[in-house]
Amino acid sequence: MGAYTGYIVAGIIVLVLILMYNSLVSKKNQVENIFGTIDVLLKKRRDLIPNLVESVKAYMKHEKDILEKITELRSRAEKSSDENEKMNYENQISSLLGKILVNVENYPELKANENVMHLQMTLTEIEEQISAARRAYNQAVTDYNNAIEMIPTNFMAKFMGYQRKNVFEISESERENIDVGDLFKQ
Amino acid sequence: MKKLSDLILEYYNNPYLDALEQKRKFLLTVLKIAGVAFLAAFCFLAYYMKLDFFGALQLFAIFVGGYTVFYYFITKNYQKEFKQNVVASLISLLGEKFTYNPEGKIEPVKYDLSGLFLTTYDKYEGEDYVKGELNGISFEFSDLHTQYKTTDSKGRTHWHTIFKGTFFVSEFNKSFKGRVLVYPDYSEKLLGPFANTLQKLNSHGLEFVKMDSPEFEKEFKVYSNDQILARYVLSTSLMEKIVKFKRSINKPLYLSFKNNMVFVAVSGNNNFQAPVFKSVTDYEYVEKMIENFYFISSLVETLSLERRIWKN
Repeated sequence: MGAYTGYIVAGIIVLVLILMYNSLVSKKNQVENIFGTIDVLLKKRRDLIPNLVESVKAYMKHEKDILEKITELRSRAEKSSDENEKMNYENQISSLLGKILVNVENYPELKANENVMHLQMTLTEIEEQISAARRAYNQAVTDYNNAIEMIPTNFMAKFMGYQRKNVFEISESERENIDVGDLFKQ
Repeated sequence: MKKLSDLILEYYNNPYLDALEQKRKFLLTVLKIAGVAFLAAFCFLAYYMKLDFFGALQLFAIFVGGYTVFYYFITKNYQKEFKQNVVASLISLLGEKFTYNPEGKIEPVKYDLSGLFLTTYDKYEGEDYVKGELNGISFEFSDLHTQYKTTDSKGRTHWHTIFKGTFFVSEFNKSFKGRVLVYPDYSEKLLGPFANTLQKLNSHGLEFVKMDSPEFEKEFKVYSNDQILARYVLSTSLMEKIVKFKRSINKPLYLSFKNNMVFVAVSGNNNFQAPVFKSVTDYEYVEKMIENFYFISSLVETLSLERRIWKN
């Protein structure tokens, strides 16, 4: 009887350890998975930027500096291997791109250009998706961080060498989202 | 969109109101007399048959049932006239693009498509169908009542409500693949057939999504097949608008986003019921009735569904 109890207790402990291990791995994978999606979206956006800059630069004289800055940031983001630095560039692109997309409305020639309008909508759409993916990422990171800091999973996490991850900082300017929808209101 | 006060004014200016009030008063008298007659018949029978307490209780239940049927038939015509003359005029005030069918309802296929209520229904009823268009977005809504039945050991059939309230369907302004379901956040124990639904969601490959708005999280529970999609559909501003809408109607609210459509189910009473025990000019009653209808028909504006960001 006593021997059996020992086996049962050991069995339960092993089971709990396995469950804890699996839940930590799945939380880590969730974070990586969403991060991958953000990467894909950012790449998609980077591919569209030269197209946009080419199409609008002849008209947007006042925004020449912004356009140059976007092009520069884009190539830096492309080359950078440091994740944090890369995200920093991408954040700057987001806010500058927002300005361009809004200012397109001030140029009747651009508004009449189907290609530009299409680019504007595609980019706005991608911005929305990026923002959604970042929110999902932040939640996944929070869940992950909670798991590696809370008892009892924190012991397991320490053993597995899991470290805290950082959430995306959302800048003040981004927080005041430009209501792009307003532009399409007649 | 017209203002709420315009609709209330239109209601009070309706020329049929006086005639309806006369009719209502007459009906009320008939109902009162019938009530006394039913009660007298019950007392007489109970005494004559020398029933014990439980027997009397059963007989009473039969009489209540009988009276309900009587009530339904005697007020049917009055309800119909109210809808044809008063409700129809309210809806036509909203514009040419609004149509009203008192007997119509949202098609069952749309209710099924929403995926909000997974309990299979045995009875699908509805009325007061409204179709409209606002800022280029077409939408429709109606009262719905879905029920399922169970049979107890004595072979008696019991009907249980799955959903009762207003069901709204419209296009959604973002294009997406997948689905997002939003449920009111209360303890599953209180939900009855709904606890069942929530369990089924898991087996349908939907996972719980924790949203990043504390206000929204306090009111709702979100399920989706894709964590990112849920945030894409429920943008920060849409969440704020949904919370605001929930607080203004103050009723349990369910939303489903699927196939580029949005389905909104507001649990509660029927939209348009002519008052029988209150005057048709009773301000409190009228205001509440029109307000409910107004909130639903301006949902497109409330949720800014006309703001398309992805295509012309």
